[in-house]
Amino acid sequence: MPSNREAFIRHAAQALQEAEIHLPRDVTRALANAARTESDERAKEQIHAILENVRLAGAADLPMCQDTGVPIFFVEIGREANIDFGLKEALATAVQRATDAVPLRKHAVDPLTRTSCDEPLFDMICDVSDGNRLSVAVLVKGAGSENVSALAMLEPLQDVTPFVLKTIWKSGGKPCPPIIVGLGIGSTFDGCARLAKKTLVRSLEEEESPFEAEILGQINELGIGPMGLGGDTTALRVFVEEAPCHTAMLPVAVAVQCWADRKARFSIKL
Amino acid sequence: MDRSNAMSTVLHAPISPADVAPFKAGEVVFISGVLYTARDKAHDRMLADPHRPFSLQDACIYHSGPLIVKEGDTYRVISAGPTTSARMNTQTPAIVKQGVTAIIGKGGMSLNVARSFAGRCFYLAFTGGCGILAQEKIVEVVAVYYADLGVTEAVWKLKVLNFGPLLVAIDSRGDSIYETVRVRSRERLLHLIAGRKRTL
Repeated sequence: MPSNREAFIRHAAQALQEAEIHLPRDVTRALANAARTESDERAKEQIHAILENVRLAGAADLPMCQDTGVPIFFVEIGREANIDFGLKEALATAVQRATDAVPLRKHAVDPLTRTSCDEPLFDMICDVSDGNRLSVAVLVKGAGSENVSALAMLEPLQDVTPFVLKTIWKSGGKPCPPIIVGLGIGSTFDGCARLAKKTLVRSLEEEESPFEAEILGQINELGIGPMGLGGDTTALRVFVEEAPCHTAMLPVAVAVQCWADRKARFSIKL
Repeated sequence: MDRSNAMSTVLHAPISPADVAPFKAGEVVFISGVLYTARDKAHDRMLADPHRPFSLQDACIYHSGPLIVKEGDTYRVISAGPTTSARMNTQTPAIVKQGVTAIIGKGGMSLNVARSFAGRCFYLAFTGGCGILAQEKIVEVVAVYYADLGVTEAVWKLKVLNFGPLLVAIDSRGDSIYETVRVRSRERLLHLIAGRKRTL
């Protein structure tokens, strides 16, 4: 039987390319809605510029933002899937291939010496599920929004909302609002961050919970607006994911995504 | 300066301090001429380099790490939107002292930077994430300096035509739209979290 490696690499490279060039429809629709409902003229113009940029990127087959970010691959491995290759190595090859094909910006550096390095930059988070498929969601994360994301180990009985609102207020225009906000509440130090980040591949059109709607309303009441220039539209959507935690802990992570909520999926039978 | 149409003022870079001074926060301009991209490392290098290979007098700095590829002997700009300006807050007053009159970026800069403008520099906001809108206005890659810093961090001398729309977000007097928004949103934040019960 031939190896599945090549098919996997091809799909992963294609998904990354798709994410970098074409903004998903749920995000474009949310932006178009915001352009209609926004009451601030300056804010409206910022959103119109964004929508025009999205259109031009798609038409020219080029990455919508020069910060082509860090791809994060959420991989679900079916228990019965026949994987005869190294996942990490295959994803590195896929990222390299997309880097040449799209092309993507080569901005990986050594964290302390800050000198360029050639390794493809990406992250991989794996889960095991039922079945024989390998399902992958890729999220492209730029530095502007990643830099304002935050994590707090709150006191167990503390209210989470002030931490969330302060985090968004402090970030102002830096993460390229209108943003998408993923909250991970519970689990552990690293667990809440993973919960928060994984929400960002969800569709903005999924039904929102009352808690998600409440936080979204409060974030938008801040009036930071598109690009931090004021307006009604600071965030397009808030996602909340919870998990049980130790009785002596309350971990909370706020994962912020820019308007360029670049995401794509694929699933192959192995 | 071409002010024939109030909606489309085109400034020609390099821009003199006298041309910058009349603009007020909230106005929209376009720029034609020469921009120099510069991020964190380039700012440090520009300030430390006694033999800087270009002049900052009346220069326009663009906070951007463009995506550029080399094709044969020429450079092709793929995507070139603005980067987060706040990262350059600390070095910017020194850059302004060197004669810079316009800074293009996104997300805004600190009050300290706004104060350093002293009537002779302004900050222009280009919509973040709009790499293709920006790329379409770049007509030529004139030169690259400090290439050892890497494609993203190097200084690219770019020739642009009607680059914009650019919002005057911090004017030469230091009036800042970001500061107005920051103060107002802080009041709203305090109102939203006041009176919330400490426990759920």
